[in-house]
Amino acid sequence: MMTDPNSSNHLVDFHEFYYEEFNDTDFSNFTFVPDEKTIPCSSITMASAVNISFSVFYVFIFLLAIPGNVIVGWVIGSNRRLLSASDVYLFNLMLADTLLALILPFSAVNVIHGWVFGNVACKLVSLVKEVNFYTSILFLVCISVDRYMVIVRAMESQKAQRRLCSGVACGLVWVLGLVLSLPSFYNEAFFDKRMFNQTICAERFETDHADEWRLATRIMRHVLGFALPLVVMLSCYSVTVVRLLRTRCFQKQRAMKVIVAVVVAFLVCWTPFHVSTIIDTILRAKVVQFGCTMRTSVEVAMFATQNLGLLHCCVNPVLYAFVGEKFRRRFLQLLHRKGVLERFSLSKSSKSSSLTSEVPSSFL
Amino acid sequence: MNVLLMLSVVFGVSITLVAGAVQPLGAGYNSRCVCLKLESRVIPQDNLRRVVILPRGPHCKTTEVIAGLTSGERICLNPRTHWVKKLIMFIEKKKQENNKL
Repeated sequence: MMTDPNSSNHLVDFHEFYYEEFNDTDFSNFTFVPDEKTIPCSSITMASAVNISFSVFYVFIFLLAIPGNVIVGWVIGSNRRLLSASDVYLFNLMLADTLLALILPFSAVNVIHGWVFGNVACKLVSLVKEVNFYTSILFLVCISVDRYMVIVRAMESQKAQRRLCSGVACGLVWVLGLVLSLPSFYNEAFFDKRMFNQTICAERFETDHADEWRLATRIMRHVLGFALPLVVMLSCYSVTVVRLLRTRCFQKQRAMKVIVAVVVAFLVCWTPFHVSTIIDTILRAKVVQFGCTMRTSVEVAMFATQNLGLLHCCVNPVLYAFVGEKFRRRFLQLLHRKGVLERFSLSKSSKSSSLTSEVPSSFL
Repeated sequence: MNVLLMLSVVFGVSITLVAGAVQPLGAGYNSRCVCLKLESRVIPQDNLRRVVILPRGPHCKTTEVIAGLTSGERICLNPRTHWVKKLIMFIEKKKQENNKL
């Protein structure tokens, strides 16, 4: 039973009320059968084991994502003079994922103890999540457009110019991501007495306009953070793939494999979240009839799919390691060079170490 | 592929464990009303034991009135019906009278 001090919990004698309002009514022959659909949905509480499991999950992702993305950054950065435009985009994608991974320890503590980090940290963590949400897919869009320009429009010869453009594009993406993420400042730390009885970090819209604001921010996420970028990506890649199949250029086809893997991974991680959020929005609008069971299922689905999205920040390094042949070669090359340099320093010999020839791109 | 398999297992276990529970998490926290359907019929006096009034807020635009029945069940009342409005006024009046004591 609810013990919320803010709610009016009255165990009073209603005899006087019924006498005043219904004194001429005889209820003795009236059998009241409750409509089970009017039973309130029970608030959901998390078992300790589940809390701990998710905390471990977040720590695990953190431990996998940080070294993985650092390695990716190292491989790209060590090849700075020969960076391609796609390398610049992938480097920025790595930055976004690393940034997201760095806030996972907050989630690990939050899931067990609630939000204990204060209001400023609440807003910043929410901002980082939102920025990662937008920038990840926008960088993928940049790559798809770049591939289209190179393969379909044959702009390979202007590589230096494209790399400059990619730098500017990345700056624009970060700015746009920040602007689109400003609604995340609605998140604040507050004590929730209604259901969870602990401090939480969540969106807190003004009462009278909460539904409108929530709907607006969700539509923005769906359209600008997913649907529109998806249309652009699919358009570019469908044309690009058709062209590649026609020209039979093996190296470019192999490069496309890495990019396609990255895009597919992104879609696998984030599409379920959009689907469950859309379903939740439909339920909130009361467009369809539903019961507590369905609503609880949607709540669980939203939580699970959001975590699937968080998983994305450690997926790309794994993909590069397994799908990206050039990445593996480049990485091993760097390890080898570092080994050679160490031996060189130790022996104090003056002989020069042989350097293998540079390859055009670390990834593609 | 061992790493991916491990990730799948970890995530699968997490999904299984979360099947019966959910926790608010940053921007994903999904506040909402607790009442889906409202009861408008008059509850006979012998069936009514207590009334809980949940104030409106960002989580729920409307005030929610929950009646505790003598059978132990709880149902949501429609705060817009005439008799429930009277009931709320009655409760508020009693509350004020108690505060004066």
